[in-house]
Amino acid sequence: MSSAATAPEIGPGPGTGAAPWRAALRTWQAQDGRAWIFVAKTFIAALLALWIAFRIGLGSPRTAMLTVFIVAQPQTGLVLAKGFYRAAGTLVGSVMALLLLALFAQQRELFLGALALWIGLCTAGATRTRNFRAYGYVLAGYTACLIGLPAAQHPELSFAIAVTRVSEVLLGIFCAGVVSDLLLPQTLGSGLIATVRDGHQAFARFVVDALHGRLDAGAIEQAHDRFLAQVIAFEAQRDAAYFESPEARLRSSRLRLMNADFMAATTGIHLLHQARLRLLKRQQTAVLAALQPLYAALAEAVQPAGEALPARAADTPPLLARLAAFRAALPARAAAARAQLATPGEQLDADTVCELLQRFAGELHDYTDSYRSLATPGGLPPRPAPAYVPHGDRLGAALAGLRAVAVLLAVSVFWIASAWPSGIGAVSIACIVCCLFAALPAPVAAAKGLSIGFAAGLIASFCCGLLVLPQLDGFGLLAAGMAPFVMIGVRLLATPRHAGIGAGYCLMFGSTIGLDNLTRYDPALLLNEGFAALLGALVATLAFALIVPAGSPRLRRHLTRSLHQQLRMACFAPVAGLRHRFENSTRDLLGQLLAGADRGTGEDRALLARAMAVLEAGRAVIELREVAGSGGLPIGTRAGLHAAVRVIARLFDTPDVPRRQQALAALARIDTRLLPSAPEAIVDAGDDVAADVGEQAALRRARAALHLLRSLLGDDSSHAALSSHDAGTDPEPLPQAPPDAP
Amino acid sequence: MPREIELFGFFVPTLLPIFLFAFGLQWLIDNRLGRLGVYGRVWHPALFRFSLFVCLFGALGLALYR
Repeated sequence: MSSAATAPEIGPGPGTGAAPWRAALRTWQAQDGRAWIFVAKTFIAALLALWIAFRIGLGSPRTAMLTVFIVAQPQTGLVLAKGFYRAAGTLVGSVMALLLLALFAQQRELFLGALALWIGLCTAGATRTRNFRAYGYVLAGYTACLIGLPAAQHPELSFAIAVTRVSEVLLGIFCAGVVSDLLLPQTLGSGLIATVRDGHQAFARFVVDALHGRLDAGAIEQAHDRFLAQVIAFEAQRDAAYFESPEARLRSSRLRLMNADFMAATTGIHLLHQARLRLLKRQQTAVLAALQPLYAALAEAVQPAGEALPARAADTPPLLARLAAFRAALPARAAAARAQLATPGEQLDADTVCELLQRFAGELHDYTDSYRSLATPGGLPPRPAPAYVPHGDRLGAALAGLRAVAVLLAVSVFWIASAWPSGIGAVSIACIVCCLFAALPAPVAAAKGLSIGFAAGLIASFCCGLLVLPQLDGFGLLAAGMAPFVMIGVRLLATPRHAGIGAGYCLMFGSTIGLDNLTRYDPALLLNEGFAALLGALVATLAFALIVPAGSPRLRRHLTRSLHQQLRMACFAPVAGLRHRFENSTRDLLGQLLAGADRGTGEDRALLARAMAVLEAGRAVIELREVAGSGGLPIGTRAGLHAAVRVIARLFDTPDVPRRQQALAALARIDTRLLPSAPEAIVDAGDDVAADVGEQAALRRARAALHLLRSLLGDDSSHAALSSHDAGTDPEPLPQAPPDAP
Repeated sequence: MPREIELFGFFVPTLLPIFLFAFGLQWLIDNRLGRLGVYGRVWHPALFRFSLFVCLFGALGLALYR
């Protein structure tokens, strides 16, 4: 009674009085709370896996618990994706282990050699894929090692060992996935929607600002850096969110298409911006003045004065309509701009920029259109979605594979020669570390963090397993006794800065705590196993530091050179779908380069500038090849265009002054050949107007593409960015100013 | 139905292929429901999905052990 009477009075009381209290709680919930939720979920999943494994009597229940620690991720999609690829890798690896055992069980040298070869192959394969798929490759490699080594000593038990390992890993993945998905789920999907919205809005704002010329070089560079990170992070999230829910699966291809369109659009705006900078540099004020209304019109189409940019996918149809209207009106406007200009050279400049504008407006339209398609829950992608194309580096892959082989063989030799009882542990851990960290930008630091974690985990395992657990009895008390030790490790795992140490801690703790069906109290065994693992990790760390370190100047130079090699691809790879493959693999490569770049020394900025120059030149070449391949032009002209591509490819291979002049001369020759045919075509093809219009358009495109390439090759700063294989070499300027357009 | 079946010369519990079958069935039904937009009307989609799987696997398993 009294509570009912006082309730209304109390009601507002805490509401006002506890406002700061609640705010504090909310900030804690947003920052630290998430981490603790993750800790609690991981611990529950680990206990669940452990309990089931004990209950159904699996061989070594700790593997199930370890698997939970390994796949533990804050978001459900990441857990499911990592779990899926872990399951797949484990299955393939165990089949391979059985195969190797069947072939070479009696000969340990042959067996270890074949195992090393398989691991090397898997590690090399992993560097050619991205995200958790690479993890699956790595796992297929070292699972063969984890199963094969113990089984080689008892070949008659090999199938049982493989079945036990597979079922424990699957149990751990199942528990981690179920707990992560059911208890307070944190999905990637919701974050992905926010990323998509922010990404589109930020890009549209950037486009408007860039078209109005409100951005300086630094801001543009930063924006492109951000866009690149966005492309790569987005692909990783999309890939993992696929496993989360059927809605995410339905959305996946549209998101992939959107990312591809986004890449094309960022290059498009870069091309436009560069063209404008070149006009400024050559002081073509008349051309700039004539084009100004076109830039303004596109900016107006993206964001009319006084209107906000579309905040959601459902708000985009007006923007799409405006962009389509802009594209339809552009030819007439371009003709008007052209009419203001006196010389043919100026007109060609204007035509080139108009072609770029038309293309960019199309790309922005495509990007917005694929964004719009996300508004309807079950929609299809507006166009077929191309796959994400990673850049596979052959040398890096071979090095990673060779390093893994060398480490495995070195530790095995030590194991065999010293007849060390715990040698298996050292070999396995060295192999795992070598495989897992091969694709990281800074593997030495990661391996060091892991070793520190191993040491900490060994201490914790010693305290928990030898001092605490022997006092306790029953599963409930076991859980209570382990809780503080496990939680420390998982909390470290949840902190991005200490995730490596946390992973090492959890791995070591889980594998040496000695949770088996028959409890054993054996400090010597614990220490032996622990030190073996520590030694394995240290050997792998050494290998990363000694055998062609990932960050070594030579390897970085090689990668930088392969950025340049992308231009060969633009010149010679089959042209169908090349635009996307080129854009995508160049960005992927740049992402790898930037991940290891030193942000302090300006290396990242040099790399970004070079990559943007490569993207620009590649796009111009591909455009030229596309024009040459399309039907609209006479055969002689097309052959001429192909010849020009070959000359340019030679220039890209060895960029020196004579070749640059040669290339510019070849482009000029073809351009003059294109020029006289234009008026003839109008006279000759009077009876077939449609064909004539098609040829005119193709001709205009070809000339614009040629002119773009000529101004690019004639521009000393672009040429410098393209030609220097190592950052900091001198640009080779042309002896005289490049000849102006005819 | 036998409770253990032979797979490549080894005996495995029949529940294993049933588990895999239930998983595949669940995947199909899940995609279908997602396309129909059912998950927009469900309080806890993940729990719904998991329960659906438990029902499928349980029903198939009971058919085996009856």
